[in-house]
Amino acid sequence: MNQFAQYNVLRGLKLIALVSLSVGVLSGFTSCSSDSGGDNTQVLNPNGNNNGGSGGISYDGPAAASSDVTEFKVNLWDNIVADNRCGNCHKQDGPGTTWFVRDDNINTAYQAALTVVDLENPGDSLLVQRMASDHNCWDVPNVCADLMETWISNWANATEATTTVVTIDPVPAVLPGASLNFPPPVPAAFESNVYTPILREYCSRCHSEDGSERQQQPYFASGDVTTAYRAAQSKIDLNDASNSRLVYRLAVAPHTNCWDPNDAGGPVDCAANAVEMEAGIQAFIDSLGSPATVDPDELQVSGALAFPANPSQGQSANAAGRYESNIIAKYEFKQLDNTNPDRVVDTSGISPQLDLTRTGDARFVSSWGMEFFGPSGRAQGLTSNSRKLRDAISLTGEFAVEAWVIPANVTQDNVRRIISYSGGPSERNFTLGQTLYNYNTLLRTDSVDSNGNGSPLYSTPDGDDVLQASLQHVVVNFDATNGRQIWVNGELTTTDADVLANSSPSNWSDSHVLVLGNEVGGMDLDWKGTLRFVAIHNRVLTQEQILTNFSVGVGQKYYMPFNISSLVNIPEAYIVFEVERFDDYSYLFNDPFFTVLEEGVVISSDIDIQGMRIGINGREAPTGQAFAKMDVTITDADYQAAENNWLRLSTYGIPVTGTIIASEKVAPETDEFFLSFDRIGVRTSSVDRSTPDYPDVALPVYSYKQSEIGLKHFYEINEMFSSLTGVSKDNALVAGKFDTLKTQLPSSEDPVAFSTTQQMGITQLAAAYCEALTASTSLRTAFWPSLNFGQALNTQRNAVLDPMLEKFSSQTFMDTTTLATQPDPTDMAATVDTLLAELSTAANASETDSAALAVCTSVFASAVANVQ
Amino acid sequence: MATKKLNNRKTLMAAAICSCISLTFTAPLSYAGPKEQAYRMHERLTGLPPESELDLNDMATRITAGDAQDVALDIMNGVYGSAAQEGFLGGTLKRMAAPWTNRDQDPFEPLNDYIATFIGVVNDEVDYREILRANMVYTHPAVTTPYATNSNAHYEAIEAQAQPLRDLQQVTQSSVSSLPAEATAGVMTTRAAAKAFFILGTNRAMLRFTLMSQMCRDLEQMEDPSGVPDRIRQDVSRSPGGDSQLFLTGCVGCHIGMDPLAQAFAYYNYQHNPDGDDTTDDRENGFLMYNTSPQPNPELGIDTRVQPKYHINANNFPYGYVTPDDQWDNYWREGTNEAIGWNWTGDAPNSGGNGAKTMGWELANSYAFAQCQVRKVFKSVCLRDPGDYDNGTTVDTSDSQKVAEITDNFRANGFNMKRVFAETADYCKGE
Repeated sequence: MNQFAQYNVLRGLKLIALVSLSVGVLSGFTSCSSDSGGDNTQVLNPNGNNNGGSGGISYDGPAAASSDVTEFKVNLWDNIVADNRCGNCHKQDGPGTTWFVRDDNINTAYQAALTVVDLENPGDSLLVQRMASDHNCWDVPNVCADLMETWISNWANATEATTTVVTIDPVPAVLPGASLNFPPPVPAAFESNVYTPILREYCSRCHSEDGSERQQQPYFASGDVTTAYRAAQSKIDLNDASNSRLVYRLAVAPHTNCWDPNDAGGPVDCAANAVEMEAGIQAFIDSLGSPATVDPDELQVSGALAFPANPSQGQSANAAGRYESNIIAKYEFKQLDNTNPDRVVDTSGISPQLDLTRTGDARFVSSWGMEFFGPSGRAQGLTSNSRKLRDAISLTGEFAVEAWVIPANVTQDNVRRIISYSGGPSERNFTLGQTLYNYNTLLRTDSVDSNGNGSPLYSTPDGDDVLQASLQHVVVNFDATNGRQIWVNGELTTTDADVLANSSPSNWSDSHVLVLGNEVGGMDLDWKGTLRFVAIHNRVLTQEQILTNFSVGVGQKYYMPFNISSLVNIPEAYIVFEVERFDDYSYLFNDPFFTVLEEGVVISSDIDIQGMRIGINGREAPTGQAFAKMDVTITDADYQAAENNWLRLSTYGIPVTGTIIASEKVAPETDEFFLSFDRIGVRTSSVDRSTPDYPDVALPVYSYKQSEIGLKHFYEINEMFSSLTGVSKDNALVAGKFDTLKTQLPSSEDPVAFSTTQQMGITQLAAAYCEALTASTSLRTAFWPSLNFGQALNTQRNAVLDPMLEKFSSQTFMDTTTLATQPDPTDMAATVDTLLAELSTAANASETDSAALAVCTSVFASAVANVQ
Repeated sequence: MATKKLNNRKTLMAAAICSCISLTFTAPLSYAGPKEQAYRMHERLTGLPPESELDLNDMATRITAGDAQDVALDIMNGVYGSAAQEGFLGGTLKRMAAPWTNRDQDPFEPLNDYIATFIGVVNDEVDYREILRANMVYTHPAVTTPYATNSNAHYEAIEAQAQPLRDLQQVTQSSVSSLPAEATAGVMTTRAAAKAFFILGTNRAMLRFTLMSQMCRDLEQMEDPSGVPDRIRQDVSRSPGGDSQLFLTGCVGCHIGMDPLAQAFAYYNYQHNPDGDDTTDDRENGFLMYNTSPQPNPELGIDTRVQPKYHINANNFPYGYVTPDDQWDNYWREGTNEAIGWNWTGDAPNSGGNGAKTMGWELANSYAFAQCQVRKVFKSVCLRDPGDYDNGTTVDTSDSQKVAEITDNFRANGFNMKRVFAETADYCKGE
């Protein structure tokens, strides 16, 4: 018996849901390969499954003695009675030890079957185990075992008297395995191999509090090596240097800040940088010596245990009771067939088996699912087997498509194909698709409003953002009464009437195929995301059934009991988490509870539990410690009051019930976990959790001198133009112009940001002000007091220039003052003088105002006016 | 019309030559006598040159006498002309604050109650920390269009009428809106801030943009994945698109601290017709709503003061945090953000409390808050970000020393922002 094996009730450990069927244990089957047959002709249940496992055999023996016998017959017997399954050996007088498919008396077969099934935990049934060990399996062993479990589960779920019994198995207190850890003081090997030559050298412009480009946490390139060391710890994998985030960001997901590995100003080379980083980290790891085990005197830890490698090694925590009575195709993406890694098995148990084939940019994920990540990715069935969908749905005129979906993003549009039963981009029976935040459906019916492409589209409401890039339970129902309905996470999201109500899918094509993640053949309609589960039912799911299936969830969950007996001095005391693979990169730890696997235990003194953390592979996980602030006191009263003595810590109002912890090992290897506590019972950890001092808030350090000058911004420019010309900002010639142009003017003083667009904006505004200035006799006289507008401009250059020089040059206050930091007047005068000479109008007395306008504009729009 | 006086050829010519007038100076920029210093101080504080030679000479004399900071204060206070004072208030200060009041950080934002309150607080030399706590807003007594909770018309009238901003007056928010006094929190509960940061979403934007504008830190500077993620709400997907690495290496680092702080805003919402788009009056005429009593929440099936936006998308991670009230906690007091210098003044609450007012006070009493104001003034007056200069052999730490000194003085002077402007203008006036 492994550590998760079923624990014997008679040994006094608890049953959690106490109603169960009597289940015996059978010694085993004998191998059998000979033929046997039956001549049954009577159908016991006309509504029985069309399962293909009866091999055309029908039953004409005594009637079922109870409803449970009927359910046995419908859900299991019909599926396995055929000679090519179990009938060859396990009928009456067959060579098999147990005649659980005898066809002369279904009641006797039922009694025999009870000895080879475990209705409380169908996966533990001997029938399932024998299939898994390749005992006359008609498919690959994993597929046979899975189907057998499904049939037994269906029987168990259909039997009212049966309620799932969940037990917690005792686990010995095993110390966590040895691991490498980051020593508290900064190791010299970190500084010499990682920090100085790489992090500080190449990353400090951003990943440092004094970064000159930006200050981007984490500051693993901080000017303070201790700060850098602390920040780098979550980015370094001591078990595998190549798996370090510092390497990953260079090798796999490179950002734009790689460097020339030769430091010669050459092209950047992220791959070479990754090699350099990995080598540096490896040298640091090598300096750490041998892995060390946790010191139980320093850190209070529970027993350690590994995450189950497969369901048979774990204690299932899956809630029972999915509603699947009318299922006709089901995909759990378990990658059951190790002889064909591309096979997606239909585990509905309904023949013909509509298996799909994975192709292109699609892959199985370890949490049970299939990720579609590129244009060629899809999983597609055969036309012949897909026909069962049309046949079964045509009979009922209704159906439900159910899926657990994780859209990769909310940006893909054009009805990207999630699940489609179609013949091409414009031919379909049904499609579930995605457009941005919406789920879409297309459906062919006999309605005049429907066509061969499934139009019209029926979707979740725009603006409700129903579709999220996270795990969602989606059900599309169709029946004649309601038309289509889209349910997401147990809620009906569609309220608009569907024009396809009062129609029938009786006209579905029998030449279409079921395809996931894409259109048939791949037609640029690929969907990016992950499917964790897909089922097709030939009846709609009721709201209650939808809620049931939603609440059951998806994927394999396990109870992981962490032994804390020695910490609280109570034998068989545990903190139990519900744990599952969350996705390829993490585990979900959820809903912890305290329990003691001895009946009648009294908690004689309160148990304080403070600062609980999850450890992985010998050390506390660096991220995700959602229970680290926990502070609860377990009392006997609470314990005794808890249902089944499972005292859920959520009872005490802890802020969250679940958290995710990053995985470290890749399947089939599994990670080992433990719990640690700052305080538990009377034991207190001696680990220093106080926050160390960090350097004060720093300013950037630049490798260049910053400019001492800057631009004037839009407001200042407008104010200055108005002030110096005397033209009001409300003047009709300039007010509208400023409103139009202001976003084209400089918005910041930074001279580096200056653009030609801004120059043109300034010029246009200057022209407007200068036009208003020259158009006003009083204003232009005030501005150019010595200028005679009846005389050619080039004959009175000083009269034009002097006011300009006074306003903008170093001779700003030219009576007695010169300002060294203002523009040189000689240079400025020469430039403007050149301009005057080039203006032909400047020699024409009738165009003096025009020439003055041009000079004014050029000066006001120039750097002398707009730089401060 | 322009076509009468200036034909296209001339326009083009003017445009072509304008860039030819290059900048050459009679002395190096680093050199400045007292007149140059006075000119620069005046221009950079107000955007305008001094009004007269008399003023310039007076300022220069006082600078020579060691009174540069008093000169700067007088410039800001209108001693050297009301145009200069309005240039400081309506140009320099408005330009500083306008980007803080909208998500696009648009500096062209019209005057609003957030900007006006900033201008008023600086001009009246109010303890600047109150910008995140006080029951105050600035309005203009000469404008007949009244302050309204669902309109910016009052402030648009101030600009349209070119009313002097020196006449802005402080009133209580609770007297011009339905907000109870205890629900006010300085600029965070102004109409403009609500319209920009309490609209739709999850109210995290109010924290983020306040951090950016008043702490000089975006979330990328606050990221710390080592904290305790027990207050991250359910709406944050732990496996975005099916990849929990994104959460564990990215999202978590910000949400650990952000979510428990943003809980302070749990009772606020910008109420408007969500079916309107950006260009309709629906958003423009919305108002800040604050739940003073429990309201029915159909999703939760209970009555609660917490706005429904705090419970949206709960199925993204149903095991996450469910917001029960507006109790905030500052998880950033631990970990790398200890460097923020929390409770630098000794006046901060004890890293936790209820509501925006106390949370704002937590932020406002940090060293980073005080330093941020100095950094912003530095950039406005010196036209560059403060920073030290490493020439490869030595590091010139003048800027960091000066910023630290002005920050210390900011506290010593009762968080008077005008003094920060004065000290900074003195530092950047040239040598």
